[in-house]
Amino acid sequence: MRGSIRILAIVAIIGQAPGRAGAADGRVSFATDVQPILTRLGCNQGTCHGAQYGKGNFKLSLKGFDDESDYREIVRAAFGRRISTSDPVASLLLRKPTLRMAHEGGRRLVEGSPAYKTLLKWLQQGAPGPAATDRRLKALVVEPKEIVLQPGASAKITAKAIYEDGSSELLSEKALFESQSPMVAQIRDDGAVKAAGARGESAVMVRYLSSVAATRVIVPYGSTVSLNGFRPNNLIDTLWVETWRKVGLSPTSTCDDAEFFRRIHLNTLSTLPRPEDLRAFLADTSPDKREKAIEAVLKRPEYVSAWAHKWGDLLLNSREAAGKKGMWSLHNWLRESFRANKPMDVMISELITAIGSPYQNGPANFYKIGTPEQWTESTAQVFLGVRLQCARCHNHPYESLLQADYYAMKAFFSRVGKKTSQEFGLAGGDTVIFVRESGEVSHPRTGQLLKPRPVGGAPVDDPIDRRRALAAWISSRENRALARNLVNRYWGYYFGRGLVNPIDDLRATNPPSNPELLDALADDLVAHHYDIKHLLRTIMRSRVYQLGSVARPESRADAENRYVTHFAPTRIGAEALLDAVDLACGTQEKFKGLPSGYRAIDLPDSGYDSEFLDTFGRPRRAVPCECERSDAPTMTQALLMISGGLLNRKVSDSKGRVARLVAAKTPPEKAIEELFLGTLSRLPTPDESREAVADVKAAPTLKEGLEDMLWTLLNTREFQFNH
Amino acid sequence: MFRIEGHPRQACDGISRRTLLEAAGAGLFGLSLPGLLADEARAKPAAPRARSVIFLFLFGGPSQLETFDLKPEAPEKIRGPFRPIASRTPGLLIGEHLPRLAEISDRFCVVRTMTHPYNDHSGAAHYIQTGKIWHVPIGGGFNPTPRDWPSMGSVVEYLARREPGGMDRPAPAYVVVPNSLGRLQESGQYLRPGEHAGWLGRRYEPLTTVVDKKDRTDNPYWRACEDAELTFAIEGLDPAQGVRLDRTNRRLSLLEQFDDRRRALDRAIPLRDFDQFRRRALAMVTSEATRRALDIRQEPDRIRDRYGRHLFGQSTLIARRLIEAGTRFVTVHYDACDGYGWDSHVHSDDVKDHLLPTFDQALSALLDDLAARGLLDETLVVAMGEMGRTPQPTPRWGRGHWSRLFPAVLAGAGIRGGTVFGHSDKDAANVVDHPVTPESLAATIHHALGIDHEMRLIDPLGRPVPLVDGGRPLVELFG
Repeated sequence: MRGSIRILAIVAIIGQAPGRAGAADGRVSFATDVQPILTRLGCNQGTCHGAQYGKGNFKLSLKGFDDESDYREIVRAAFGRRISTSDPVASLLLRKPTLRMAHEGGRRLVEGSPAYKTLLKWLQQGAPGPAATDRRLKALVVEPKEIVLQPGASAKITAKAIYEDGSSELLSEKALFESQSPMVAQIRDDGAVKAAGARGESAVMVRYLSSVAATRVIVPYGSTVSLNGFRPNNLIDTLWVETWRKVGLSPTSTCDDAEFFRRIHLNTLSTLPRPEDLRAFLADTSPDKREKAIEAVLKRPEYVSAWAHKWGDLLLNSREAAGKKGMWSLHNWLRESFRANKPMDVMISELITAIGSPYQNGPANFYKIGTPEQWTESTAQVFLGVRLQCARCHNHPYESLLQADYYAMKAFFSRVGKKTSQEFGLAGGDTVIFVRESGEVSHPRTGQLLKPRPVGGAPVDDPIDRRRALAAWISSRENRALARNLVNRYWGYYFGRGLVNPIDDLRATNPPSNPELLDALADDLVAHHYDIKHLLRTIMRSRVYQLGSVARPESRADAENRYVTHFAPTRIGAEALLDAVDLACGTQEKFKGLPSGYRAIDLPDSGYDSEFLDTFGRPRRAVPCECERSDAPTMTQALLMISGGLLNRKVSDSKGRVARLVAAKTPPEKAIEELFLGTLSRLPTPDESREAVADVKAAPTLKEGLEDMLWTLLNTREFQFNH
Repeated sequence: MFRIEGHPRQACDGISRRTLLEAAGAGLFGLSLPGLLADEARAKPAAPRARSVIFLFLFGGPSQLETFDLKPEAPEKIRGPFRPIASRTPGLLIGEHLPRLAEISDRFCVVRTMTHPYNDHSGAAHYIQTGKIWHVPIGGGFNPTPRDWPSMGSVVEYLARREPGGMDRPAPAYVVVPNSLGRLQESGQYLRPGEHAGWLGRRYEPLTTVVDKKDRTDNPYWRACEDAELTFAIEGLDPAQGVRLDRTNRRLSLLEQFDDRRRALDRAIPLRDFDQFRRRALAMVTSEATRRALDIRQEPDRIRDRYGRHLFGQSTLIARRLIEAGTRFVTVHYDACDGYGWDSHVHSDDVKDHLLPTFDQALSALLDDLAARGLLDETLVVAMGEMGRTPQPTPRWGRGHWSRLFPAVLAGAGIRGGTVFGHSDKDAANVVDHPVTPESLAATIHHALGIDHEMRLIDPLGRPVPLVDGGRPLVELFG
């Protein structure tokens, strides 16, 4: 295999037009020959000389994004002692990585290897620097996009550079091939890939100069797929069946009615179903009762609270950042938007183009909160699902994102101004968000002025307000960036894991688990004018969403449930959990400064004291990252549920559920049923009922027995998880 | 002690690829390539000297001129009213209100030349406890944020969990006593940054105890405390609202009975995690070991008297009990109940009457006690504030904030006692030689624990970041 590739490479080289700085005329280019070697050998990676301060006083730019600086560092810095053009072989550049001299990074380069020869030749030619004649990369083409490999089999990934001058080059000897999971797919330096033993999926990333691309390599889990009576209901189902066939996994069976009912309530409303609704649903015998339940849920008022809260998190709405009035103004605008089911592209455009008084115009608080850098990063991350932060200081290491992309994006916001509105005669400390007539952004390294350009798009502008051009680009019917991000986010909110995971890290080198589905749902969302309820309806109606929560044994190898063979249990978030405890206990938490009746998911920001919410990881709304909301279990959480005062107070509240059951002299069987419905959203099984009744009767008093039972149910996994 | 699994094959910064991947979880890309791995494994880190660390944090910033960096030759205004006394360390003068420490100075090393640019409390508290400058600029905030750097204790907790069987240890590796910093400050509204897990994730937060004060103006650090006050209750556990142990046990057996029915859910990863924490919490609620470690009444009166019956003395004693019970990192806060504490802008009589005597008593007792128990060799003791004080006094006999120069006391775990590190100028204003940054202090503490201070952790954006950026372990402090 290796031989044949060499031949191909030679063909490609011969095929080049003469006269350019490139391998063709025997001249070695620093930019397109030396730099790829330094990247391929790992010299300029973040843990070695690419670190912020370099290593051993030798500092390269991360993955070689800065040719000028790297050239200076190699050729001129340290009094030029790193290279010797008169005695090239004696250059430190060659002696260190071949371990002819001590090198903390170990042996990186083999004497006589093609890379060694190229470096040597470059030195012999007098170590020429980057030049205007250097070929510029137009595209990195990596083929194929997806490979299904049976265990033990191998294949070949080819990478090709297409330059702006029309020439091209095969990159088997120049690109860097990396496997995300070497246990699944082993990759050789030349792009040959082999199934390594473990089953599953591994992305293989290919890097050349500042571009990256990826190929998905799948090693199927099994050879037989059993659908177990799974009958597709919509496009989600059809596309997952195709994927299961490809990856050799089988779906579990459908969940029962009670589980389904609890699930749609928790996902859509962040709220447990009311016991009376649940009884009615269980008693309903019509065949379309699940569809009816979905419609009912989408109409409930808690929908507004749940999603206004979620977007309040994402937009970092807080009194610290926006002031109390601004915070309420943004919160109320979010509530209005979700009440009206405002199309999401309209909602996002209103945020991006907001001007005026943040007190009166909710979305203007987007600009009250934070700095131009934060607007840039939030727009990329929250609306487009792109983590742009890395590119603020250097080119993105795992994405074809350049520093210029960051600052071109920032240019949309360079004319947004804030001033205190005293100048406009308004009282009360309001601010005014306005658009200036000028204001530019330049590249921090080159100083070049940058035209506004959305990340992943072409430059766009607007004579009055640049942000209008950005909003128009985002909501253009041809553009899928917003739709893909929304689909992936909401998929993640419903399934606990995005099609792309993490859900706000969409990039070429982090491929989705079901690319066709992500595309199809994004198209569908655009076709339905960004009606998010349409998307949620599609998700909830799918048989995939309605799968049971226990994986079939043969599908457990996919431990992360990347391929959604079952509904993976997720923890209930802080606010929803507190509300669920209240519903279960028949109590109502009171938040200081708000009228009673405000539930935790109704809170406009996280400035309301609650040890419970803090302990269970509500975000403080400081960073626009989903990672700020922590669903990781902690010791204090466990202690709070097991032995905390709040839970004990609620369980034994004198007006709570247990107290009312006792006062009404409810028979134990019936009382146990109520407790199960209010916590686990299901009826007890006959066994559970019998045992629970016996336990309650064995307690010193009925009240104590029921309280202990309620406490127990609140501490079960079944209560604290959405499953 | 903190060996990383898969040790032999390491990347060029000394972390194994496996650890990187494990720490990163999904989404990490570009770091898993075989090319990342160096061909030669480097033998690193050095064998640990410390099994555990006791960190006495004197919040507010004790004055260098009143403690370990006296300048009898300086003008009267600068040298202040306290007289220097000789110590057992050649060339080390100590403030007259630290007589017991002067008497045992052969047990510790004084680093005179701590220095950093963050001249304010919250950020400096973050800097000292994490080894990383706070991302919030001076004046930009006071409270911890999710972007804070993980504390040294949280890193210890993180690594301890990754040791074989780490998740099954009921004792937490990292404990903060007697309260989270700020809880006893005058109004209690500012929780201070520094001791927290920051972006490493809340699961690596310390186990924190709770001891209340009697009322707003009370200062339990400056008076003898009753046993009933010294609850050292575990945060999250609410003894006042708690239920009887027999009832708790009944509930736990009910839970076992009813939760077992959903065993099928067990295999999901989040459920396993949840279970582990619940198991540890249950162990803590019901187990005698932790209860006993936090029960100060178990300690003989003679020893309790030696540490001092004030909150700082008793908390320091609890720290010793905790490390005996297996905790690896204990932070003892000397909080500023009156809003000043060590932050002695005014009425510095408190420094003489309360702060120095209680500190003198507790630290000297701890060092003697650890030595007597044979624990000093394996326990690193650090005592310091987050800054020093201005050489120029304020008009009302106090001193302002001064982060350019302040001392730290280090002892145990092989630290050479009876030594002094670094020199300050004639007014104790600036470092003359051997400046020690918080980065280097953190590197030194990690070094003592056998943790590679350049180890990469994966931050929330998936970037590998070094634990400590730019410092160096002060290996010369160790014998």
